[in-house]
Amino acid sequence: MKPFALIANPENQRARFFTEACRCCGLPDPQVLPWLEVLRPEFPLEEHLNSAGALRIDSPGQNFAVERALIALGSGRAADEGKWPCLSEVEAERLTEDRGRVWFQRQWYHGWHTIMQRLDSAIHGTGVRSMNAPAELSLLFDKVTAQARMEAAGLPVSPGLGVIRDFDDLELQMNRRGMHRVFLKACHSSSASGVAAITWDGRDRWHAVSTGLVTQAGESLHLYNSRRLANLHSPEAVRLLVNAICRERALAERWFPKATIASRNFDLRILVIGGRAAHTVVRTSRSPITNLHLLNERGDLSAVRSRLGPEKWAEAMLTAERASACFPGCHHVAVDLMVSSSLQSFCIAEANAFGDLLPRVEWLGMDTYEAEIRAFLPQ
Amino acid sequence: MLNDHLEEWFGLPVEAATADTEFEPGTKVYRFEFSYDNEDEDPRETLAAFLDLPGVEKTVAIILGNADEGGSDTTYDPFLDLLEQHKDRLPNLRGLFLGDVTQEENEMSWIKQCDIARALRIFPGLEELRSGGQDGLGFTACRHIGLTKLIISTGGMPKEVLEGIAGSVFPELEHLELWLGTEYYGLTATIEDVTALLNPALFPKLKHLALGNCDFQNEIAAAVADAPLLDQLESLDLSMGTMTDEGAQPLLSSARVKKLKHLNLHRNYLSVTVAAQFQSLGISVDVGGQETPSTYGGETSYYVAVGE
Repeated sequence: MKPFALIANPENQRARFFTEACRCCGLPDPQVLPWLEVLRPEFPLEEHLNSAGALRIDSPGQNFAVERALIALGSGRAADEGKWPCLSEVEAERLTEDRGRVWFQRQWYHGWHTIMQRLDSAIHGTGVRSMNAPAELSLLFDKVTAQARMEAAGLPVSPGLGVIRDFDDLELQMNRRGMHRVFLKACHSSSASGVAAITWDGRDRWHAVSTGLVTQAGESLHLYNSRRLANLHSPEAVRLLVNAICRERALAERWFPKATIASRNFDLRILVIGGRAAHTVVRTSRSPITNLHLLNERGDLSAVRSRLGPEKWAEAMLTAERASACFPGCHHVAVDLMVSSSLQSFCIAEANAFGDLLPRVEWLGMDTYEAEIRAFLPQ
Repeated sequence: MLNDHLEEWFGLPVEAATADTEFEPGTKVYRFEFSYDNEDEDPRETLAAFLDLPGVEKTVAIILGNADEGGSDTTYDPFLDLLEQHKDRLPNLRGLFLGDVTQEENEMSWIKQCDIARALRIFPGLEELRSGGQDGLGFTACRHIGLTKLIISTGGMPKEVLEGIAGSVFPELEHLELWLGTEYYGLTATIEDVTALLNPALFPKLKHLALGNCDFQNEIAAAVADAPLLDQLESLDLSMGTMTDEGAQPLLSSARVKKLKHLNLHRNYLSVTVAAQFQSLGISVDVGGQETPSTYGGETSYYVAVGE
């Protein structure tokens, strides 16, 4: 087979892992097409795809120049929409890195959507086989539409309050629905960026646990990602946090109380490859937010499995598989599945386009990238 | 404590009850709770239906979980009303747990509680009473000749609760576990209220005492270290609190502490050195999970494991 074309950030470990996985499968090294190049309008995308055996699109994350280019690319649509903070193309190109800062995510999404459309037509034009369909990669980066699609398919997702404008809107919506515990999530972010678990006693007490740290710079609020969770107890602090997250376009959904194991909350990250639940990781935390990059620990998979019992375990895997089937153009989807504290039911927290970076996790003796390639290759 | 649901009680597995549960009263313990899985179900109705089942007499223990979606107003009183109406149908009830709620389900300090001693008045045969949460928590002093184990978890213990316990007569009490919390979430009990519980005449059969998760853990350590009560105890638990190296000294130098079978100082603020000194006392100790204080703006802060 001709080599894969891999769209990725070449300095990122994902590119290295995929190269190693290709070697494992007896394939030539992939031809890496750096995101920064792909995002240039004059980049000869079709030419590269014509000479490729297949295409894999990997995460654009952890590279500020790429983030900036995507924000710049989204400037037109963002200005047309006019609802969220936005920069002109020139302004975006002048952005300098502010480490951990969460900003212009809606505009970033417009850029992402634009490049996905471009990739989509290039794929159709060249007929190259792609591991993941750009249209669905675009959709998976909008939690509102991704959740709606899963809900429409009858899958368990948490009841949502929709897109929230600001703190006052959140309070109003929570009051209207009699919902006192919610998760607020930035719609276009990946991992746990811009997430807050919020509780309200229906009167004047608020509490929030968040991955976001808000600093006030004059009139404006700056939101940063933090590995150390912020614990906010005053209504004023919660208000600032909610307002800052809502500027990125955020949705609220009911806080689904997660099951615990060994005094830690957990959920399951289930990588579904070619429709089949494969690599599974137990993500645990003492906090409500279980994402692993927050220095949380992986939990004991066999303990969870025996707690659930064979029937419930099978139901968990099936639920993840059904969730991935909502995105049939994606050869692999990573589903975050919560188990209720009563151990009776499941709820999908999220479906991730690039949730397959799970180093050292094996399934049938294969790491994630190798398993994806083997399942993708014609038998 | 605090973050897990009780999974087994009196040797029986615990299961969350729903309207669809096929109950087996003698072989399982059921937790009645507001369920996010079935929001329209009222756990009180599920409990009422359970109490009308044939065979419900075999029930050994009942657990009441999250009473409603966090933040609302349901206390455990309406559940106790139901249990009181049906108390003759529960002749074998040994355990009752009011407020088995994890931090995923509600804030400890927001759980609406009641006068939990009411459960003892309803069920003279009860052996074990547990509660979690502190909003509205009360404990009217009472006399109960069967109670062997009392566990009250809070993020802030009201003074009246300790006064109620100290004024009670529990001749069979072997296990007393009190999680005291912080003044920020309702701790009004003082070191004097705690000291009042250290009277050996109060609970003559006491074997295990836990006074943990406390803002004034050092004072408790000082008060407990040489208390004559220790002579009758097998184990002492001062975990989850704010104990420092300095605060731990009275325990290290106490001859009475050395006679305990087990000492639990898990998750305080002890240094490696002091933790090691405890480990060389020659008794079983738990000094794992120690925290380091946080400093902010020149101020050093120590936190209990669970407040909010």
